[in-house]
Amino acid sequence: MRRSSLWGVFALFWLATQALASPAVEPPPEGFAISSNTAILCDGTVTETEEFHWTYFEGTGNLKAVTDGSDAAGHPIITAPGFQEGAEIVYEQDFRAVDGTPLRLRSVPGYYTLFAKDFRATSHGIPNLAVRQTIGYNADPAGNGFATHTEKVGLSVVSSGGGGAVSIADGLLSLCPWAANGPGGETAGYPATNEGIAAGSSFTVTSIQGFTSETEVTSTEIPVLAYAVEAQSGHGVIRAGFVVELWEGAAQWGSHDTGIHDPAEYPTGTYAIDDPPAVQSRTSYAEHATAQGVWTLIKKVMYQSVMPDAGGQNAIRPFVSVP
Amino acid sequence: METRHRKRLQEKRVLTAIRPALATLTFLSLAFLLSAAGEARAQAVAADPILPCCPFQKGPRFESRVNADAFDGAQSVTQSYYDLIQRYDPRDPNPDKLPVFLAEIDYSLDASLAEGNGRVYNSISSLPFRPGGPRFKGDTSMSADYFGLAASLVADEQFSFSGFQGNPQQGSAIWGGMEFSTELIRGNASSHVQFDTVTRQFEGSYLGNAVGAAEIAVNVGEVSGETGVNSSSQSYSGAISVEGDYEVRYTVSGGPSGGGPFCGW
Repeated sequence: MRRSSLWGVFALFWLATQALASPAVEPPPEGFAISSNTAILCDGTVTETEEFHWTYFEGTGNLKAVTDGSDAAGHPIITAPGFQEGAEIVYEQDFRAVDGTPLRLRSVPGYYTLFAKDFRATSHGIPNLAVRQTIGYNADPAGNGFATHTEKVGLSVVSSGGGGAVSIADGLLSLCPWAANGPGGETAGYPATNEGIAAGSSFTVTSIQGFTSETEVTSTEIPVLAYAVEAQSGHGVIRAGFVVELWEGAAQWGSHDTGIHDPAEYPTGTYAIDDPPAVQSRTSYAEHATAQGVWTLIKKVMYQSVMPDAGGQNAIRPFVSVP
Repeated sequence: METRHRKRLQEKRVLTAIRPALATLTFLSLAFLLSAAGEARAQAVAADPILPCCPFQKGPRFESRVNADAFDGAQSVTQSYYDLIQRYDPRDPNPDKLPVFLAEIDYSLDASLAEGNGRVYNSISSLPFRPGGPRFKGDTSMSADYFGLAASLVADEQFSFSGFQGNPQQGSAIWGGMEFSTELIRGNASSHVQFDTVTRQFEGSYLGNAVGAAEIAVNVGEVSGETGVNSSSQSYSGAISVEGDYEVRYTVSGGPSGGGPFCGW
């Protein structure tokens, strides 16, 4: 390795949209918890893959509602209620290592490949997804050894909006008529939103030392996605990316009683779906980093929704802002 | 989504209902062929009292253990277990009613030594319903070439489970499967699987320190839903493959976490 050619990529990024983003999506009554722990030392070939998908919905609304026909105004008529909000968390990871020379590990001399991972996912705990990885690998210079790795994490939250006040203020200020987000007035609530966030990294190397990655995703409280990847040294190609897409409507996506169906008691009755609200805000962000050759890489990204929520740190609390 | 979910649950119930028998517990086979020392034992006793979420007032208890050692020879060890549990709501007068509790466990181990020294120890047990108690548990320990003779020990262990609780308005189901494949030339490997039909918690682990190869595959899924209120679908899969001189430690566990209201009927 030519020390003089060592160059690095450093990136630290934190993103919190200032526009109103998506709300927390409550977990189902009977959720799940899964944890796995993996530790591998190998002189030979190693492959390891892991996938996790969680999609869930809550409340009563237009999302995934079953419709049949339309009213006089052309609005689809709901025959089976859908959901108010939905969220999805996706994690995929793939690792493969072939051949190599022994790692310079004092505790485990003679092993070529090191792989360790701690995975936890749960519907009733924060964060809902947490993954930590450690990888080390050296290829045999006399052979054709290589190691490849890809890790991706995504969070999507879709809301048809909601009525009622969702206060961003605290204490007496919560009575302020402007304290609730949304269209205001007696039906103050929050508008329809759609946000998707994804982060990940990949490498193809003949050697990599001190590679670590940390992933955290939350959707059952204020939506958060955080991803950090670090490689102390490597030879080959390494990539890391971060993408955010956010839509926000002008109002909630509601339903109205057309009066043509009986009974008209939602959700047992049938209602017509209003036209979707106009898009009021559109946020798009993407960044990609690539290092090729001999490198050091550090990249940390985080996205946090600022949708007001109970106990959220976004609450307006002037009292706690002074000594 | 809700309609699809209910349809899926109904399909699962129907598929189960048409199974040849409603026998609650079947212990299929226990056999081993060997040119080595071995031991096998099975016993059944009547069970613990009924619990709020338990489908039966009586339940069987099974235990089976196989210890097989082969010295410069060949041996084969097989174990299998199958368990199907269904419970119907006694308050429902419908003669064609569907089960409101359903659980299924399927386990098998197939290990064979072609040459050299090899050891296969396996125990499986199915215990009656009790709080926190494992409904099924399987443990396997294998080693090869422990006297320095060349060995070739191949084993395949498969475990699948499913559990459903609910009614047409709300319910949840979990299912999963694990497979551990081992090829030992030298070294040790052990595995553990467990599923509790009451809590529907599962466990699996594989530890290997050997020269040879190992493959681990895990798939787990869960759905839950309540009419017009919420719906959830989750899946997890993991796969590991190593070949050469390796050390592998893998554990996985999980199950429902919210405590759900589905035991109240």
